Amino acid sequence: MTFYYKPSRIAELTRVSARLLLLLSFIFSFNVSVSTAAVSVADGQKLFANNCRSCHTTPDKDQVLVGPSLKNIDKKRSEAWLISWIRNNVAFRASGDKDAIAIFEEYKKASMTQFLSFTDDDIKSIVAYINDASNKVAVVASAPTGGAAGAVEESADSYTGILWVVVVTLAGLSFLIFRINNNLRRYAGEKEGEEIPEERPFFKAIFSKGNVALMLFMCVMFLGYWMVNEGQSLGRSRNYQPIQPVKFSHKIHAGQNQINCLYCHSGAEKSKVASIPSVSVCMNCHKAIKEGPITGTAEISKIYAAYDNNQPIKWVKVHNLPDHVYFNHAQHVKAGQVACQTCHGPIQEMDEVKQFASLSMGWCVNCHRNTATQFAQNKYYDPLFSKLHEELKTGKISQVTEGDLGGTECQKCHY
Amino acid sequence: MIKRSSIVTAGLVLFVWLLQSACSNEPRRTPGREYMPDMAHPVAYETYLGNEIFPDSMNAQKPVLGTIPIYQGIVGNENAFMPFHYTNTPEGYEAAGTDVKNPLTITPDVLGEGKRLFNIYCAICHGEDGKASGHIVVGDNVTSKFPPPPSYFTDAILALPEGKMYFSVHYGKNLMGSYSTQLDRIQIWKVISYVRSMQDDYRKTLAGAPAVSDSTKKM
Repeated sequence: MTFYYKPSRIAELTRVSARLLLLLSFIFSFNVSVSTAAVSVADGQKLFANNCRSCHTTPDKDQVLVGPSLKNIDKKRSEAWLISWIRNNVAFRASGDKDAIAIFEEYKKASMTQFLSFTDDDIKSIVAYINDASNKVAVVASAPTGGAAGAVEESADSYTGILWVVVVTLAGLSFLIFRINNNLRRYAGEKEGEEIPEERPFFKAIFSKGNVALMLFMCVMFLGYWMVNEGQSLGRSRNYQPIQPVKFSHKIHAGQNQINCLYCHSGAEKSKVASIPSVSVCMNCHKAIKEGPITGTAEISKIYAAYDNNQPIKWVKVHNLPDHVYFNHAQHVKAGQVACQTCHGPIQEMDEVKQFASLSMGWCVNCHRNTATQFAQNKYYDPLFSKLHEELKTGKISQVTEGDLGGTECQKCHY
Repeated sequence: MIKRSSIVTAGLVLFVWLLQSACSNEPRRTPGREYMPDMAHPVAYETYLGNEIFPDSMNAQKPVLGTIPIYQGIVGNENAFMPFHYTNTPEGYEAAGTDVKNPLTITPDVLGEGKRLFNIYCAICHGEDGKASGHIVVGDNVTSKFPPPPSYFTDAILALPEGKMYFSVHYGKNLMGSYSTQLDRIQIWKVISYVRSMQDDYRKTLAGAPAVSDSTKKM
């Protein structure tokens, strides 16, 4: 006997199995939709972001912030335990739960916030989100940005090189063409029987008395210019860019992250010095930020070492004003309302800080002569210079500079 | 007699060498040479330089125990460094919450200065609107983002007494660090006055439009 499927039978089989599948999937989907009516990962994610994220890292990481990482917490603790703990950990500890007291002791008795208004479903949603997020592989976000920046710099360098090659080649070519042209004209003239002056050898022509005199004159001028310039810059350190103990980048902090200069240099509007931030100021953010975009953990770990050993970081001073000049940051930042970049340059674009201004006396006095004093929204000057105010109002003078206020007197800065 | 050509060649070489050295892109790692540095170098100890007299060889020393630095000549800031007598413990936190009150009279000047300070020191995380929208929390090209602090307009923070706020700024709270090195006592109170005024404004908008008031917890 031969056994085979008739086409009609196959069709029937498919139909039946399709119905079965449909039924199964319906039941299944119904089941799922019932269970997510009140507990959902999306809700949990929102709740987590608004209430937990300030102290706990996202559940895909193992990092300890204020509280422990919650990765796979649903496998470590029962749901009932989590509900009691999250809603009111104080009461839960008072009830004598051993695990609750142990974790409280482990985190130096820092009490977690109570979330009395959370419903069971809220907490279950959070746990569902944690379970969901723990199982996702953390996406590695650290792109090799350093390499890209390096490539840009490199191409800029090679560009300058090519430019030089082109310039030299063109100069050589034009010299050759000039010589060929000269020779051709000479031959042409010879053919036509013109009287030709005797050709002087090339080098003799170059080193004629007049040329040598001119070159010597230019050399003396150039050397003089160079000597005056170098002489003036003796003791000045424009563009000084020392190597710092930590590769701190102002470009990342002040540029990309837009942290105000005064956040770290808070002394700039209060005291003579702008104040180098202590390690504790670094730790305000680096308590949580443990990896940088360019150097990874290498440089940030130096802060932790300094913090743990209670030793300050020995930054190298970039701007060194001679001792016989008095300079006060508060006077310029607070009273004068001068922007940091006026003297320090585009600091938000510098990976490594360098001295932007020459810090020469001419540079100081120029600014004192030319910069109009900021009277608007600046009460510092109100009671002191009423006469100048009157003159400004009546139009007798168009602006008041620091020089008018005595800012070019010797004794203002040298005493 | 020296040949003319050798003089000129030497001149050219010098010229090219100077030109080359002038165009070098190497960063300048030394501060350079000095000529007769009379009175250029400090005789007294400078603010952040070392000082071998002290055991920790630092020139920046803490004030002598039991003394309080004062701000000279700044009206209203005389008590800026008065000590804060509450210990950094949960008990101290609670005690500060009930005892410590804002010593400032709220004026537009105080709120204006508070806002300025807030935008410098706090807004980078808390956001200029106080809703944890700071640049290092949500910014576009920030590579390592900071965890968001709670919004000022959640029930818990709206109910926070100002003494606890002061405690948190002074000692730090959770992930937030201490700001007592950056802001003095009067400045902290100016910032808190401004934060409270933001919260008051929020309550007013809530009272004006009750439709928004549902579930501040989930915002």
